Amino acid sequence: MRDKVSILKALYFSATFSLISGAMPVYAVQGHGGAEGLVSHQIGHILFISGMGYLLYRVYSFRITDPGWFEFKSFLWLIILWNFLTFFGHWMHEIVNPARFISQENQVTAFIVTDSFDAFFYLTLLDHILLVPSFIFLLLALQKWRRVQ
Amino acid sequence: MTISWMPVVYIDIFGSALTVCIALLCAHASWQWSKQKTDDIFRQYIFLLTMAIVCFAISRSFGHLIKQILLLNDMPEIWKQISPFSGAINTATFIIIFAFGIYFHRVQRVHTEIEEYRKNLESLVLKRTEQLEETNTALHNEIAERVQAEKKLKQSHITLENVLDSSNPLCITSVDFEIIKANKAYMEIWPKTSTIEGQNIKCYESRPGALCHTDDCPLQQVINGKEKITVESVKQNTQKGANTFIISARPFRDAGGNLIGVVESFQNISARIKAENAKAELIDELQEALDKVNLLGGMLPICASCKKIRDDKGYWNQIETYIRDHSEAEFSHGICPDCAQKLYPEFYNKVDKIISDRKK
Repeated sequence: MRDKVSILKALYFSATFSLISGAMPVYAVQGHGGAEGLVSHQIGHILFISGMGYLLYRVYSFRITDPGWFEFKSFLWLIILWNFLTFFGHWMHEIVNPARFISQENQVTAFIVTDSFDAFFYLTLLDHILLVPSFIFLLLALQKWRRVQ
Repeated sequence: MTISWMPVVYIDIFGSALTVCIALLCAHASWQWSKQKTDDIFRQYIFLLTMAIVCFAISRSFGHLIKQILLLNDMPEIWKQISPFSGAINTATFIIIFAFGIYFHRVQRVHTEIEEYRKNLESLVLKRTEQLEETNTALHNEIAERVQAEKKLKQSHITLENVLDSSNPLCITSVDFEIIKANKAYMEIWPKTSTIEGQNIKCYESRPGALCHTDDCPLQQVINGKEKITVESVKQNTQKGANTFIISARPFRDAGGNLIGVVESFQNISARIKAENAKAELIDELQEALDKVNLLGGMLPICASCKKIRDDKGYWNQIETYIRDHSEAEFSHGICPDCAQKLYPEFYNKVDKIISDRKK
């Protein structure tokens, strides 16, 4: 058990270090620009994923089958997926070709999809498709716990 | 392929609004759940984790909503100024959520241990409660029995007191010669059974007598092993002086059969002795009188000629001698007129003439 935790810790710190060391100043744009920067936000996502991943791992380790825990695990899975999706979304947003955006009167009206990268990028912008269900599962889990207790 | 941008905008707006609503419901449900059991560490942990996630969801959703509103209203510059703050708050919530996430294991472990302790404690409390209830029931029964026994004991005590007080003078004396218990009849004769301070006094101080400090003392005899003693003794009494008593004594033992004293009852026989003495005196007197009656009673063989009487030994005695010996009568000898005339006629006639003349 301790070995697994050590491996997870090593992976987490390696990922964080590589992201920080490999981050370029140009990544700090639009949504998370300014003093905050994209890097810190991405680190935040990694921490979010790590925290929820660890929590999910522990929930599975405990083999809890009581009512509500399936919903809680579903929430964790979806929020982790959402984190990955948005993580890639933020990253892709910086490197996507601005020509793909069709604007009218300073407002984007359409997006040109030429390859899978563009398609995936477009998909990352619909992150609420994962976020809303994840919160629904969290609500269900809490309601079940409340009812059971 | 060109795809409309509207789905992105609509999903972002409606998704954000929906996320805010669900997040608020989550916060409410979590708060309600944690409030049900405020001492449950795991609930508090889930509540705080949920609140962190809710903060993230609300901050992010509001950020997205403001972004969409500003962009739709052609105000991207304002959004550029706001977005760092919105993003920073978002990132901060990520870190908080991460912190909560990595503490899940410890909280869960502590919670599990606490639950185990609680279960053990509850089990122990239940067990102890059952034991206490059993003890309590037993105690109740014991108390009821004791109350019943106490009533019986009280009744027995009263009965014993009544019996004691209705009997002859009676007292219990310890092997240390101290009076432990005395009944009313005893105290009427010997009122002093304890000191003013309430300490028991010695039996020989209460009822001094001839047997005190001797081997004939009933208590001493009981100590020496006798089981039943009946003695007669004169006991001193300050009010009535010396009286004679028949003292009956028996050993007084505790529940273990150990000798702890003597039970003595006193029967005053002074009046009886007095009556007996009077009776003996009367009998003596009567006997004496009877003896006297017997002296002159019965058939007396008497000589028809000389009037001598034959005694028990066969001797013939003069009648006056016999009567003198067998009665308190004494004889003085004289002569009657007939015998004088017969025996001494001249002398008799002369005397008779003188007497007749004097009468004339």
